[in-house]
Amino acid sequence: MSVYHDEVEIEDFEYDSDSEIYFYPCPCGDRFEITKEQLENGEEEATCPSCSLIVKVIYNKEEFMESEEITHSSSNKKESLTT
Amino acid sequence: MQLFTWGTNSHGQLGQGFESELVSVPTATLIPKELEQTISKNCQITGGGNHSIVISNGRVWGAGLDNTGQLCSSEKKSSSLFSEIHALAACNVIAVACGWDFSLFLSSNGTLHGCGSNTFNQLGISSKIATGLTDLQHTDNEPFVQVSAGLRHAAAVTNTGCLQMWGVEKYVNQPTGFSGTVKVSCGQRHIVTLNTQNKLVAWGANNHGQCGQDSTNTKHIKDPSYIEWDESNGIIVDFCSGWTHSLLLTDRQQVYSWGRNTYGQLGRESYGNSFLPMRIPELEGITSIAAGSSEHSMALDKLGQLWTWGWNEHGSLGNGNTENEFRPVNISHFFPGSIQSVGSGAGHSFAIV
Repeated sequence: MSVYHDEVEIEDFEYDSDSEIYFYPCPCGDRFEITKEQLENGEEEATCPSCSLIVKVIYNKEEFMESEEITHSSSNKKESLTT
Repeated sequence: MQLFTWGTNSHGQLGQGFESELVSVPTATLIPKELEQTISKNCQITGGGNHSIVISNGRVWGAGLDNTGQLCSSEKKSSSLFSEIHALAACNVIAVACGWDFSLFLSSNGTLHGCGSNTFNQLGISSKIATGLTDLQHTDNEPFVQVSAGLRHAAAVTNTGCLQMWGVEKYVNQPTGFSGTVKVSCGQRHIVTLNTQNKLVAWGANNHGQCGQDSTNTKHIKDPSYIEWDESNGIIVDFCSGWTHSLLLTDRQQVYSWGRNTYGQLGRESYGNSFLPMRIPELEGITSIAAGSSEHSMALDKLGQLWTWGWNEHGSLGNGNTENEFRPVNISHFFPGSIQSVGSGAGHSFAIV
């Protein structure tokens, strides 16, 4: 088991919708990151590209998937309205 | 006098003219002539996640990352050399506090100016997108006398001892009926204040004991709570917070630490966290302290010797390697003379020699 630097709730991450990556500041100056896909797969470790520290992402996979579905279906709706 | 820098340098925040993963030995920077002429022990140097700010004679110089405008350059251009922030030239800046990706400047007239990210309302203004320099007044128009910035929140004290807080941090709320504050220091998710009675008061996240309360009982201190302090240890003359630990300096020139100790942040024998301020035995005759905005610590003694300890993965301790240090190490031999003043950013450190 890894020793986590921190445990951070998913709501405290910043989300970049272009890259579909969640970010949180790392004390080294870089940022911890975890992709949307990793979270959907139930992964919970956000890593920093510049150092050895790892944070555990606190989230509920089922709720996360549900919120994704809502976002997805609402964006589909938008598309259908515009076409 | 010279400015020495070391530690993380991924965005040129060391001001040495290049970017690199790290610089593990204190290295002299090439500073502009105008700064070189005025740099002295009275200058304040500090940094955020990836940027550095020097205050000298009322003027301000910055280096490092400017992606959110934290250096206030008009074109948001990062720089690996210190250059003057001209937007502040007329403000007579007397103090600076750097958050992760924002900066707050205190003018001699008691006004605060901010620049950088406002995603979490760190600048205390309503607009999410801040352009250039913003102004922040106290709600009752009292002059501010001191300011501190955390990861995503900030706080300032007025000349009547009022504390004003802003930014978004769900663990740290503005208290009501809170007065007599002398100084404030913001951590990652907690806040520590000193009042006129020489008592430390803290609230926010306490999962590492950073609020001075036993973390086995409570991980979150909602209301301001006193940190236990034995008056016979002396008067608290200064204190500062890293992300999850804090240091205090007494009138006996001794240093006490509390909070998280995973990487040696507390600088003393115990390897565990400690919620009570305990003395670091090696440190005597200390005149100033700095806790990196993240996980390392520094202390300067009356002989001009510099001691560092804590997290060192990016060479933030300046001892030539990248191993964490659980006890203070003396790095004075890396400098050509006695050290006058110290400061630190998240993973980087500064000394004026």
